[in-house]
Amino acid sequence: MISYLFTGFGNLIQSGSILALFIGVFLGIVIGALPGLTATMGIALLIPFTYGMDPAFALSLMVGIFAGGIYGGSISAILLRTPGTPAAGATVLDGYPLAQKGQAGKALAVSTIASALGGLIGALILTFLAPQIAKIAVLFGPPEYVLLGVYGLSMISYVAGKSMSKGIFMGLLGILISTIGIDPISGFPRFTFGQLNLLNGLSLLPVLIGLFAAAQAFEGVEKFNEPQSPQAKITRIGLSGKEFFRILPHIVKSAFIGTFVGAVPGTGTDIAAFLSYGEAKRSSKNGSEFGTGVIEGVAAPESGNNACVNGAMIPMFTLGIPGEAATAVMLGGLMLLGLQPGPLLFRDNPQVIYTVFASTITSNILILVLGLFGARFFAKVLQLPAKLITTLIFVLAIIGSYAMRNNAFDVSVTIIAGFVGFILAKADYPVPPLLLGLILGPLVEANLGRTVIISEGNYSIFFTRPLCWLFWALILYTVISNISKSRKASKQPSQEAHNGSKA
Amino acid sequence: MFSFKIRWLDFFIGILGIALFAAVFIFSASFPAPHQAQLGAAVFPRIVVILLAVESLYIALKSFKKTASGSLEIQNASKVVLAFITLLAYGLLLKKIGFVILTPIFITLLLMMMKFSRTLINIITALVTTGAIYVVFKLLLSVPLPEGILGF
Repeated sequence: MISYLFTGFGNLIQSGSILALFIGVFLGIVIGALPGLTATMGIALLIPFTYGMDPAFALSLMVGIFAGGIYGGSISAILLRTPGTPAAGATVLDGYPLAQKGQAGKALAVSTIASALGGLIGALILTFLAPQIAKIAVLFGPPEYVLLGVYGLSMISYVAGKSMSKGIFMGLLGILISTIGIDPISGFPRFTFGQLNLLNGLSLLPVLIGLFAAAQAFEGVEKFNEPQSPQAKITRIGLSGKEFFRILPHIVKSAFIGTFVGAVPGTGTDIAAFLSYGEAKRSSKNGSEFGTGVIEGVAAPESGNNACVNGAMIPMFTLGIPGEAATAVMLGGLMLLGLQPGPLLFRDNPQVIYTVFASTITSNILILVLGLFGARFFAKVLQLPAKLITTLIFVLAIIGSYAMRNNAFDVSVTIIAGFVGFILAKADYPVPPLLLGLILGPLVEANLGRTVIISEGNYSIFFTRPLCWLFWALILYTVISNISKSRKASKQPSQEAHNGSKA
Repeated sequence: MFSFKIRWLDFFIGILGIALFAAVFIFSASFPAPHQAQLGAAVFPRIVVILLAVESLYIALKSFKKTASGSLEIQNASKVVLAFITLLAYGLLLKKIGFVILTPIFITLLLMMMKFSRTLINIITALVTTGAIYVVFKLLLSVPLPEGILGF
């Protein structure tokens, strides 16, 4: 395996994927830093243009945008008091007070170092753990995949945000939409109404671009006359050795929390950041000072969310199950590149997968370099006029959805999905569950079809296989813990302020 | 500002979900029957839509409870709708007329809508932006942009 990883690094440099990674991290930081633009959106806009690229090259680009985007959110959190991405929500708590004390440079240095180190630890865990999980996952047959898909879907309540019933509604709607097109077992065209465009189903990508890019741009139009926040001044960027050793234990601990949170489907970078912040506050000697501008309060969430980026890729690559929105979009990109995510990826395309692992490791070094030396530049980017960016997103969304099949149907889908997504999000109908349903629906149905064939119609097969029992336990646990969670939440409604609906 | 009660939308969506339930059952009635020991084409959509109907009913009934209702607010609603229509026109005409002609017009219109700057500055910004996108996507990344009537 180590030799595979070395080959991966070699390939990263030889194939020029490192250039893609650099561009990805750079673009990611810009996208992440600009409030309103998320890493998910960056990846969604990018995917159509990766069509035909070398898979390792394209994936390095996506990995770079994801990691850079989650880090970039901290820049605006510190300088503008506005998290650039939901993942940086916890960073505001201590990052902005630090900037107000005239230590914006120190806050930026802490967030950069913590993001890079946390991400690095997460990437190493991903690299060494994922192949082991894939080895187990190879043993899965169709019944296990059905239950795995159901488990992924049961996580919807976690990504649901404010209202669980609306989240479940959106998830089911996503699954229903996924049944449009040719039935995977009998080959019969369903709900196509004679439309040739629908034979292969409503294609995922135009929907993705609509929901995650166009919808955001409509919000930009809505808020066009809101003034841009004033920016804190950057002082000397750096921190002392003593300060570094003060934050180091928190970085390491948060990295493990973040990776674990990411690896559980249904949770996202924002949750990882808040959990890491909470744990740092609990275990720190100066816990009561959190919120007034302490460096630990910046280090913990930033380490946690970047570690989570890597953790989230574990179930995506090994099982083909996206944990949250960004990896769900990446999964769409993976399929477009002709790669079937799941354990077989490790057997059939080890070169690609280990190049991607090399990318995830290297991306953190790039974050460190770009973050420490480019902070002043990225702060300038924050002054770009929001109106122009809104317009640009519209244009990129349209040409992206054209670029795939050169057809006006896809473009209409993008625009309508964008508008509907914009309205629904306002009424607490979360978009990520819809995406989860769209992606997991076909996985469940196709494997259910296969299960029925191999068991000759005997459904007790779901209870006779030991691995199935493991999934039943996981599903049961998720459902019960969610019911108790929503009971608690309904007792204290204000507690549910932050949610994963935008991650 | 445009605003209405979220529970009206909830009620509407609940009804829509139940209508979907009926529609799926009606349309799937004509799906071919499965061969023995095979999952029929209708089975999975029906399972999903039954669950969807239950959830929809719950949402629709809950919408009668007055306590759980916030408002859906859209600021500058007329501009948002105008942007939607402009975008739709841009997207649908793009293939016929072409990226190079239509994009500067679209960007100028949108910038004017959002009161970006003076008209002349808006137009110049639109032209520069279009040029930049053309260079990056068409020339550097060889992404096919709709050529339209000009042929490039």
